Amino acid sequence: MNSRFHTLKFLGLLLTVGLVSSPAIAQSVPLLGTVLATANASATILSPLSIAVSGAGMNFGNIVPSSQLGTVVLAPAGSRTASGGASTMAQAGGSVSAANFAVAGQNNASYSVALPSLAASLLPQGSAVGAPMLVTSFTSDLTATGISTIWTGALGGAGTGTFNVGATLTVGVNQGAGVYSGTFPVIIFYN
Amino acid sequence: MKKRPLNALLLGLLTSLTATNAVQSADTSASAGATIVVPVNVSASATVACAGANDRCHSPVAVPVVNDGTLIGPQGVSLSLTREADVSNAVKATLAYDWT
Repeated sequence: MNSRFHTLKFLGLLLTVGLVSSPAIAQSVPLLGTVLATANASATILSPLSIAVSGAGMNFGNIVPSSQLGTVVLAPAGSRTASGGASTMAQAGGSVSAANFAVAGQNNASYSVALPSLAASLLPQGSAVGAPMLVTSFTSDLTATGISTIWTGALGGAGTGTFNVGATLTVGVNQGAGVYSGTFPVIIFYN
Repeated sequence: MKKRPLNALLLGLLTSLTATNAVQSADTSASAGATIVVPVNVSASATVACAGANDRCHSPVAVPVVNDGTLIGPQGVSLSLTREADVSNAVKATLAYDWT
């Protein structure tokens, strides 16, 4: 009776500490109708994603306003198209550039870019006096998706990649002269 | 028989834990800017009267600037005007501009 009591205590201890998960013990000690099996477990650690602005950022350059509302579309490739009351100059156009981003992460991984769905405001700087100008319709040179603000790309074999972002600037009626600036956010994530 | 619900519960917990999938992301912000340039006075057309046939008009003269998207410049731009060969007194002039 005492010996059986100690045996039950030992088996109970095994259950408590989980040693029954050992295949050897599982095969030799059938317990309470329990069926045990083993399975492989694995994991893959991906390199974390990172993103940084490369270059001078987005710049619509020099723009001439008028008495009419106008827009300037800056393509991801860096070209400008003015319409309405806004115009750009072939000469003295200023420094024009689309925003360029450098991405790093897992080799050959697919990722997505989320561009702003809301407008970014460019505020007058220094001596400039004028209403804020809105930047909307952000676009990228990555692959478009069914969602207008989401773009998808792939990292190269070295785990790096780049992409450009353009947008549309609305120039107000008789927009005040001077330099305007602001910021806009970009989010990337693994697909 | 009473252990099956407990086993199912434990299995469900284990499955839910191993099925958790966190999406790793990163973000940044970039600058955006533009410069609004004051235009010179503009008009719909520029017609300059010269003294006579095949005459030449010389700069500097105060001329209106054709608002065709190519002759708009910042304030302070100096313009020169040269008349091309033409028999009329009223000619459409060729404008050249000096950004300096």
